[in-house]
Amino acid sequence: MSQTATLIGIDGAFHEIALALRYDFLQQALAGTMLMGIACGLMGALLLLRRMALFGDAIGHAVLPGVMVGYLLGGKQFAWIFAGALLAGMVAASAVFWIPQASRIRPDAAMGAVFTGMFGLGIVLLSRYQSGSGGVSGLLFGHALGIGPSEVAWAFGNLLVVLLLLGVAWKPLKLMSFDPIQAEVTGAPTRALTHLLMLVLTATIVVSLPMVGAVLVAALLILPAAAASLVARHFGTLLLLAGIGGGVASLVGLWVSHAWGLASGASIVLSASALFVLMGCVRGARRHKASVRHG
Amino acid sequence: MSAPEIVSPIATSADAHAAIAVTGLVVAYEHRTVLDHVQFSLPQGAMSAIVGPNGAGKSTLLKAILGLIKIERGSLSVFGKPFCPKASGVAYVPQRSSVDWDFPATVLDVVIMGRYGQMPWWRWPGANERRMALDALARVGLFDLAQRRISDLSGGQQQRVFLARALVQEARLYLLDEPFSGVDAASEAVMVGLLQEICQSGATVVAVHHDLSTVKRYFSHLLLLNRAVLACGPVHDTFTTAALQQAYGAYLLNVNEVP
Repeated sequence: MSQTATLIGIDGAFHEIALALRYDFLQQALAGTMLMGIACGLMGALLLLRRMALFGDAIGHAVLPGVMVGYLLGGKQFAWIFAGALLAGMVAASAVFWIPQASRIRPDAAMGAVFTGMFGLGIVLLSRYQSGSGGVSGLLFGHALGIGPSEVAWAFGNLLVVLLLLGVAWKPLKLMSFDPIQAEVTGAPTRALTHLLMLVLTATIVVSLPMVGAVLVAALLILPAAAASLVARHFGTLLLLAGIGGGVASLVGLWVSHAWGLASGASIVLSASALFVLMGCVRGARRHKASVRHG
Repeated sequence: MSAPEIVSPIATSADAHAAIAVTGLVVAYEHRTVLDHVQFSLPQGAMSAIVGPNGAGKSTLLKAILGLIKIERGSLSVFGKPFCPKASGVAYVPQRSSVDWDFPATVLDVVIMGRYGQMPWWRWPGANERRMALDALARVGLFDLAQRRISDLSGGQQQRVFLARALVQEARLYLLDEPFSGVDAASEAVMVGLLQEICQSGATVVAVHHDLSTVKRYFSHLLLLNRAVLACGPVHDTFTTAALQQAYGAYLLNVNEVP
């Protein structure tokens, strides 16, 4: 690339990108966040349709004690952290479902109680054992530029699992999202699928933690899906747009964070917010056009 | 209350030919008994109404038949066998308000979803499903709205979409939960005509129904319910002042005043 080209704005930007990509850490970060963003967008869309958007937030917080225990038991190995977090996530999800059935506590209160309690436990463990383990505090708000090849591999594997789930169970997932009773009456394995959904959701959250953190991961689940729901007319379009939106928001956010030295997790979340506002404008413009057409 | 003795609620041995046969059914929610020793049978090929006051357990009864809720005691059978989702031949039309109509789908999407239960997990809906769905939409008078988003429909149109979704299931028994509530007159007329057609073709229709004024006109059989069965049989035998007073209380005056 020539010296003169860098003076022209857009070429300059490409030049910068080309230079930056020489650094392995940035390639890893971009690949990891994009894979994570797509998975979060897809899972978030399924949650949103079932009116469980905040469930992702709850699980994001609730996995923290599991992360800490896994971290303490297995050193820095992500497999241990993953296992611990998965276990904590499933415990939390089961508690959120079970408490309202066994008592008069409403589901929203059960969710609030479980996730704050487990988050508190996680923070206590974090404050007790944090000394000399700086990587763990990144789990709260994420540090996407600091991820290594193994985090990328986990994000890739997780996305494959999400896509596999969608591919195999597309019809029952769609039907359950719209009309769970019809799904049950026509013989869809609703119970098993709900459990599977929770498991894959927890896995998605866990592989996202190093990049966006426990506190912010909910935003990446909700925002791309909410943005997509503003313009999508079909279930399939909603998922497609949510997946693409999550991936793009992650890439853009990470790039902004790298270029301007901002917190990476928060930048990703902010770019997802921008996407949401943008889609809101698209919808508004569409409505306006429609109302003009109809007089 | 000492109401006069009315038509026996006890089902007879015709159960073998019944579309639905229920014996000794007890359902309770948190110690409150909702259905108390319910016993009846509804014949095949008939158009039956389940009628009773609010809280009588009508929707609960449908859910029990479909195996959606836990029963304390008793037995239920559909065409002589316990209900099984995979091979039931039953289409259920829920109350319109039971789903979120903001779901991103077109009218055609929703009707095609009615075929999902009959398709293996690896098959995608194709031209055949599409054709069946469009046929069903034509029957309920919504062919022109096939590509419309479901959130843009009126209440009556939504209910007709649900009926179309039931039609593509090619069921032998159609269970409907208050299909005419909050529905415009045109939609109601279309749906009643269609349900009567379904019965004439040999299938069975059972609907939870609210409007006493149309029971005689629409239905051939009646199940009068208020936690227990108060009457069950052909409408002309069961739709009596005495039975209705027992179900709704004495202030409901006279069947003959009901048009």
